[in-house]
Parts: sequence; C-alpha cells; structure tokens
Amino acid sequence: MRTALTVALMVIALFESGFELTASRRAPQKSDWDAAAAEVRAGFRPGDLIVTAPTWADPIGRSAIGDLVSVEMAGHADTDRYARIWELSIRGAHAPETTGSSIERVISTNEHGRVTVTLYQKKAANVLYDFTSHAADARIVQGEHPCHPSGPATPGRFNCAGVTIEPRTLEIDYLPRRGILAPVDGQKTTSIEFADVTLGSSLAGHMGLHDYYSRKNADGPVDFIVFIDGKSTLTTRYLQKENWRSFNIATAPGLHTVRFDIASPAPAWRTFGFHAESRQ
Amino acid sequence: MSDSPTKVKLTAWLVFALALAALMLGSRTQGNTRDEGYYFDAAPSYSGWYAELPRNLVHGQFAKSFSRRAVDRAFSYNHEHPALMKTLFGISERIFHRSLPLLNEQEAFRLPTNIVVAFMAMCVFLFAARKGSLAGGLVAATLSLAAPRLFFDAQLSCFDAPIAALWVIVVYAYFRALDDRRWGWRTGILFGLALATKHNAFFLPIILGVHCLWTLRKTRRFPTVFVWMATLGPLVYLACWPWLWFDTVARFREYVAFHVHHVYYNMEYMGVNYNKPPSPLSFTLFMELITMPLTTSVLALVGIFALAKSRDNDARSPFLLIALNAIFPMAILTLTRAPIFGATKHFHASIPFLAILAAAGYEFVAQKRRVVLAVLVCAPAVIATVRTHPYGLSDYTLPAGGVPGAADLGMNRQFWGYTVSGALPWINQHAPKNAAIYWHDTNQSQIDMDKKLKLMRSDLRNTGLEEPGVRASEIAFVEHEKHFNKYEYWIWDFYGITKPSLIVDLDGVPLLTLYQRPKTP
Repeated sequence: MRTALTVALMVIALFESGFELTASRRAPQKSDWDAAAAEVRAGFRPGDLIVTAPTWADPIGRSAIGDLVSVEMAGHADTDRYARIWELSIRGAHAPETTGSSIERVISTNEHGRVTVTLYQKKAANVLYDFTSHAADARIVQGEHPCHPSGPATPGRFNCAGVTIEPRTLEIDYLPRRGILAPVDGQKTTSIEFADVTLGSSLAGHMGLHDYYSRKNADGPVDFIVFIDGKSTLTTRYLQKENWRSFNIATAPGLHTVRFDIASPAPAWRTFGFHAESRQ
Repeated sequence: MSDSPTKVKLTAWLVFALALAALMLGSRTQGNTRDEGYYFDAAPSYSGWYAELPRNLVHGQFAKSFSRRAVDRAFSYNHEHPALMKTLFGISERIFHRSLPLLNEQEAFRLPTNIVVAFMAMCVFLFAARKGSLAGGLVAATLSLAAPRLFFDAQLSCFDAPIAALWVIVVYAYFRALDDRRWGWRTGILFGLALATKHNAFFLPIILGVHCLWTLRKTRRFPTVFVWMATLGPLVYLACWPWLWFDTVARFREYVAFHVHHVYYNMEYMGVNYNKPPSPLSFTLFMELITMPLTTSVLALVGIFALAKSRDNDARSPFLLIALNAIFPMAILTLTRAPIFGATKHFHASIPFLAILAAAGYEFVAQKRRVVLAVLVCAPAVIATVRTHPYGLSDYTLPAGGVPGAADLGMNRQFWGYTVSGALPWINQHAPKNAAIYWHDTNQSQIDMDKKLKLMRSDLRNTGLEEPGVRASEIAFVEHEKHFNKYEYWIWDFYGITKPSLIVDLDGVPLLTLYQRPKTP
C-alpha cells in the first residue's frame, strides 16, 4: 500500500507542479484577444452587441474591443433590441445573452488562439422610443415639488429636493444595467412624465434596486406604476429579491403621454432604477 | 527521532534563517495593504511612547509616561486591536530604518511579522523533526510557509500571520511543558504575547483544555502549564497593552464588543456576495481546500491515516494535539458563523498543523529516495507561492482549477486594495503631472508610503472617496471584488468610455482595471 501511495503522491505532485508552472501560459495571450478583436472590428455593424464570456473576463474583452462598446451597450437592459451578438469567449464559456430563445442561428465561429469569436443572429425588437436615452425630455415632480434640470453639462440629470434623478449605469445584482436612477425620497411619490412618446404595440422594461450597499442596508418594497395618458396600465410592487425584473405592457400605437410613478412604504435606501422602451 | 539534538537545534535555526530570508526578500516587492496603512500610522505612535520612557527617566519625569494622558495620546488610535505587533512594527522602524538605515520604512515595519513567522516555521520543524526525522521536519517547515495565502500575510505588518504563528508557538510550548516544567512559564509568557497580538488567542485554552482532558486519562496529572497561562498570560497581555491600564473593564468590554458585533464586510463565495449573517457553513473547509496546494492536503490526509494507524505510546498524545489544531481554527468560524470578511486569514493557524500532518504522511510513504520525494511533495507549494507573488492573496490552487477556475466558481479575488502596486509603473509613466487619481480601495496611508518609497510619483493627487472621487478624477481604477462593480460603472458613466487602459491580472483573471479619462477636444 505504501508503494501505491508513494506513486500516487508523486503523480499528484508532478501534475500539480506542471499545472502551476503552466498557469500563466494557459491564459489567453494579448495576441489572441487582439486577433479576436480584429475579426469583430472587421464585421461589426452599428446596432450589434458585443459581449465577453465568462463575465469576469469582460474587462479584458473591452480592453481589446472596448472602443466599439459604448456605455449604453455595456449596460444593456436586455438583448431584445440587438439583431446580432458578437461573443468573445474563453474556457468554453457562453454569455447569458447568447443562450436565450431569441437566438436564431450561429453565423460564424472562429478561434483565435484561446479566444473564440462567435457571431449570433437573433430576433430583434424595433425600439421606437428609449426613455432612458430621452431622460432629458422628462418632466419630473416629487410630491408637489418639481425637479429641475442640472444644466446642459449633465443632460437628463434632475435635482429634486433631496435626491438626484438621472440616467446612469445602475448596479443591479452586481451587473451593469443602463436606466434611470430615481431614488425614493421619504414618503413622496416621484412622477417622471414623458410627453409625445411614440408608442408601438408594447412598452417593455426592467426595474431594480441599484447599489449593493442599499440592498444590504434595507429591503423595503418599491411601488411602480405606469400611466399612459393618465390611465394606470401597470401597478406593481417591486421586491429587492427580484433583481432586474422585467415588465411588458400592451400599448396602442401612436403619440401618448407616459408617466412612471415611484414610491415606497419603506423608503430608506431605496435607490430604485428602471429602464423602459416602446417597441413596434 | 534518531538525529542528535544538536543537529536538530542547528537545523531549526537554519530553518529560521531561511524562512526569515524568504519573507524579507518577498516583502521587498509585496504591495502594501489597506490595513497596513492604518498600522503604518499607529506604529510610530505606539513605539513613541516607549521611546519617551528613557527620556522621561533621564529628566526625572518617569511617572509622566504612565499618566493617562500620555498613554491615551500614544495608544488611543486603532485601539480595537491589541498593541503588541503595532508596537513591534514601530520599534523595528525606529531601529532598522531611522537609527540604522538597513531597511526601508515599509520593510522595517514588516520585519517583526517576518521574524515571528520564521519562529513559527522553526517550531513546525521541531514538532515534526522530534516525532520523525530531519527531512520530515524540513518538509513540514517548507509546507507551512509555502502556502500562498499564509506567505502573503507573513510579509505584511498586520496581525493575521503573527497570530497564526503565535498560535503554533504556544501549542509547541504547551506540548513541551507537558514533560518539562521549564516550559510552563515560557508557555504562560507566549500565551500572553499571543493574546496581545489578536483575539484569536482567547480560544487557545479551549483547544489545549480539550487536549489536556484527553491526556489526563493516561497521565492522571494536571499539567501546571495552565496555571502559568492563567497567571502570566493576562499579566503579559496587560503589560503589552497600556491602553487597558485605565478604565480597564470598560475598555476591555469595548474591545470585546467591537469584535463580537463586528460589521459584516463583503465576501464573494460561490458567486454570492455575503455581507449579512449567517455565513455559509462550507466556507472555511472549502476555502482551505482550494487555497492550499493539493499535494499538501493529500499528504496531510496520508499523515492522519499514518498517525491514526501507528501505535504511539506518547502519553502527551501529539497526534491529537496536532489534529485538533489543524481543524479548530477553521471550526471556530464555522461554529460561530462569524463574518467571513477575511477570506482565509482568520484560520491561517490550521496551515502549519496541516503541514505537520503532511510531514507525518511523508514519513509514512518515504521509505526510499527520501530526498527526491521531499523535493517532489514540496515543489507544487513552493512553485505556487513563488509564481503568484506578489498576488498571493488572489491565488487559488489546483482543486479550484487555479485562479481562472476560482473566477468561474465566483470566488473572491482580493481585498485590502493591495493590487495597486501592479498599476504603479503604468501610472508613473502615463499620468499627467499632478494627475487627479481615484485610488479606489487603496487608502491615503498606502499612497503616502508608496510615495515615500518612491514607488509612486510624488505629484500624483488623490481625489477622495466614492462618487465625488470618481467624478473629479482623470485616472481611476477598480480593484475587483463583486460588490465593487458599481465603481467601474461610475467610471464608465463619468468618463464616457468602457475601454480600459490597463488591466492587472493573475493568470488572465483581472485583479485591477484602470481607465484614463479621454481628453476633451
């Protein structure tokens, strides 16, 4: 038995030594990432989405191709609007964005050293109006008091009595989500209204609680109501455990006034955020 | 043990010297950590009190040093931890940097930790060599130090490696005291020093008590070492911590309350960011498994098997003592569901005992070609420790699939803002003059030290904390921990880009991502 144990230990020790000695060489090299980026750059079209898998490799992916990754793209609320997705992946991983049912087919897959570039084609929603991008067009009232735009240097940013409302890359469930940050202020209801919005067949979006620190310090619910032309079309109570929760409202095409009301019975640390868009 | 006592002693001192040399060498290139920043500030204040003692004595004002005002002035800062190590850091800095310019300031602060851990390696060697052979002792000493995370802490002017080391030293002294009365009072003093290092030491009597109860079955003699621990221990503890000399009960209560009700920090484990109780039951054991070299762990299991099988008639039950101490530091956290903010650093004391068990495993299997086998079983640990330096805190071993495997699992990559050292060459080269920099988790004391050591340009500025700090910066970085993701998103928002200028990585896993604000046209 001792001999068998000795041999087993020697094998383990040799294997582990080799594993350690080759660890940095097993990682994708810069040249791999650069070659992968070159392929994406050559075929990239405006409106494509670029993602990296696994998520922890995302900064490295962006260091290679980040000039094509806008802040809005990096913080995409979902993939619905994108018709094509470029996935830069290592270690055989796949991004959650490329595993949904909306994926129609793989257009191409190419390996560049240890980095694989895959181009997916998928069904895409036609976005008619992006509320986050149009935050500057909103009229915001908190309780009885109007909130005021900060100025041209920070478009879309509104100063209310106790909080600031603005488009931001929210941190929800530790992931980037582009949306309007609208922290709850006391017992006041925040109303964010957009006039002359082009609606299609649906108004879709997501809501969540920004910042781990807020989520750590409290867990009160947030009430979220959507009005179209003054009529309530969605009344829901958001719970923190729902993370980045989606909503979808059937709408009648045409120009409408859309208002989002936000309030909470337990307003402490409710750094609420949402993204919405109308779709054809 | 067949080797002569003299040979064992000489080899033990050789182990001490080699361990100290390795740690001092490593610490020269080890980036400093957030907590060190606080101790860089505390240490001169604490040691200043001792420096004033002889001056006051000369001027006939000896009592002045012992006034509440003088004590509070020197020891009030960072009084949530005992004073011993901070005092030693400060004394070392006064001697080896200010008086004898042998070391730079940071190296001098770190020297006491290096020394205490080198003594730990020596004790581990003696433990293993006395029950086995010189080769076994050397295997144990090597494996106790060549554990990337313990080695990382052993380079720092912090308390985690010193308390792990003193834990081992006290257990060794206790073991010796079981059949040698001279070691009784020594154990008492060492226990006091351990208490004066960190509160982990309060658990030592429990584990030693359990062991003692077991040995009483055979010896029928209550060891007097506990009397020494109960008397000399508190005296040394109080002597080392002047802060407790006034309002002793109230201050001690405050100290206990601080640790009993310690705030939960954030720690990513299996993809979940834990910052509320209860901590996961599997944390300690699984973390130990994936941060210790696999060969060491397997060898330790062989050691347990071998020792359990052997018919050792030693009434002191050394196997039980070692096995209990290999498990207990982990079990404390598991059973109390204590916060897990320190990753593995709060149960480092397990590692040296696992190394002793591994040495027993080595003795069991190494019937022939003992030197070759010793080198082979130590190689993975040594390679891992050397190659991951100075990012040992971010290392994961083979059972996790290495650092990338751990990233896949969703394990914490670091804490304490220590990876900034990897970004300094880029910053020094690329930052504009007087650049406003957001330093994220790296605190001002770390920055000050890096400037003093000329690792960082002196003109670089600190824009401060949180969102205003990011907004005001022209260079910003995030030191990756799951809960820190929002800082990266702030940088994107305020800089309008997502393309980093620099990534500091370990085996392809980002540890720090740095951005430079584009110039406005």
